[in-house]
Amino acid sequence: MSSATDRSPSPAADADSTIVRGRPTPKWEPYLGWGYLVILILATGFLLWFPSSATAYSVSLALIVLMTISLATSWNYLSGFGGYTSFGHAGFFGIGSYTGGLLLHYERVSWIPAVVIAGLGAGVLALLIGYPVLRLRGPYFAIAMLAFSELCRVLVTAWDSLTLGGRGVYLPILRFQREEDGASAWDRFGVQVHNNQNYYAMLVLAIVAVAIAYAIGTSRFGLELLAIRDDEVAAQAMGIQTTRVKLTAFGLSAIFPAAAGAIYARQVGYIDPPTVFLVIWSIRSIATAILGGQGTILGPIIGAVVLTLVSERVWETDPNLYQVIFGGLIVVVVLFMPGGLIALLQNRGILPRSRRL
Amino acid sequence: MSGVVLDVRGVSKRFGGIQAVNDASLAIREGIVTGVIGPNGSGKSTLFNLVTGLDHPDSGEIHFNGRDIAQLGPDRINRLGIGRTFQLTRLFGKMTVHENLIVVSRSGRREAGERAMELLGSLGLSGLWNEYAENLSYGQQKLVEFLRLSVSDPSLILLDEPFAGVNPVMEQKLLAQLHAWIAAGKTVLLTDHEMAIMMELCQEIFVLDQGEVIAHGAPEAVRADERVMEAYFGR
Repeated sequence: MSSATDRSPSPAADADSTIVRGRPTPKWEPYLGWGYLVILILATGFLLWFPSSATAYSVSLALIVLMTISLATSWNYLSGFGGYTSFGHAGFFGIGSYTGGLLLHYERVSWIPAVVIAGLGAGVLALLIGYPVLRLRGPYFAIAMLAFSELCRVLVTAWDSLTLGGRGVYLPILRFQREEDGASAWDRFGVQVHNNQNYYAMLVLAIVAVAIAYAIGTSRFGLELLAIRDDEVAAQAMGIQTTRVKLTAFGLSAIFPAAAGAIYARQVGYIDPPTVFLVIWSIRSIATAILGGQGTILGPIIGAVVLTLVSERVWETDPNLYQVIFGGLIVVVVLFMPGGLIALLQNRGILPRSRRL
Repeated sequence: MSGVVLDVRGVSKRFGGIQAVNDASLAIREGIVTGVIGPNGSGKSTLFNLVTGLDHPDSGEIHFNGRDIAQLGPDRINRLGIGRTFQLTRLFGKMTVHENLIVVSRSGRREAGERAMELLGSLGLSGLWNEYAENLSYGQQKLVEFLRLSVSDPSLILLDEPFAGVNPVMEQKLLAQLHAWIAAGKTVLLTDHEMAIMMELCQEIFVLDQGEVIAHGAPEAVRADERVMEAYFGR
């Protein structure tokens, strides 16, 4: 829309207007989409090449960054665009971990279908619980989703015959490779391949998550979510099918933490309820999205890179201080830059103000 | 005599101890402007909420084009062709003006963008295209809310005190848009406290007091009605 650049003040605007005008749209704005495409291709190329030259540590750190991108980006679908702050990502992460972990443990399917089943299963679950729960708003919805996560943890712990309860689940992948490969000299290599497989799986997941965020952020569906965030009653009165829109966003947002959880289970090789249903998975998703910029496409990506690398560095220095700094960072961001890093860049004029971000 | 598009039959709504609407019946005829007047708290806004599905009546029926809509949700009712504005404007504040218009459109994205451009241009608001709605002045917000209604293109338009708190220049612009709707054959249901405007605009007026319809008819007849005087001026 070329006319979008027409920002000259209208002479007919009424006299009492006190408009705070933003910066003018820069000339290169129309090429922004192509710019992103180039950056995306370069980034994907780099990330594909990366494991072949990096240490196992760097690969697993990059894997965590990619996982955080999936978590924060998918949290953003409903909670960033739609304004329904959810503490349910821990629940979906844990359910995905257990779905994938148990499918592998009982050797029902190979790992890729296990990840897909975990993701889609959580999506269907979200549609079922979303119908009643999405009637709640604001803090009530947040608390309901926190309760949902806890409920999942308790159920998984209690359902001993299926989930092995509090003892946790060992995933058989490492044993498999040892049997197949025979010699123990292959073990190191086996772990490496296994590590890289998970890395590439997380990469694919992150790309799909961001692609969906892009589709949402540039579509009328995304605008409908923003309208629900700003004024749900008015949105409904203007004919927006709020229930359908919220359910769709909720279902999509549940797929990614669950699929990431399944890959994560395979990566760590052992899961138990206290670790995979930890509320920190929700907090991490929320903090990342808020740090980067809620309701934007780039925000959660920037947030994931910054937050993961910073928290890794802090963790190295002092694991006890880690939680404090992590919490302090969230408070500072919420108080002083509610729009996140994206808004900071936009206000400085480094990035244009545009929904495409 | 044109046909009845909206038929409110014996509708009641109670909130706790307050009987907000009490056995109210109104027949809104097609293609004209109908006014609803009454003192504050007489049930006008509740009536609007009942018709647009934001609330549901305890009893009674609301027929729109022959269909009972009393228990339908607001999005369904809007899609059947009833649109409204709010007493205090309710734009989507953190969305830009053009996004506010596009989001309620049911045509293609490109078409919706062109329509939004054309509508903003018609009121001399093109410069606000990329502005966040929350940054607009109150009067501008009212205008954009009117345009948003135009985009969703309802056949029955409910305006809840559209002229409250706007300056005369803005009032003229709102009136111009209202006349454009009338010319396009829309049915308008209107409430306002500006009696002069109501008497001039409306072909038929219903008077509400404490949730009851106490009078209805042509503006002149209503103005002369004793009960109306009593309700308004407490004689």
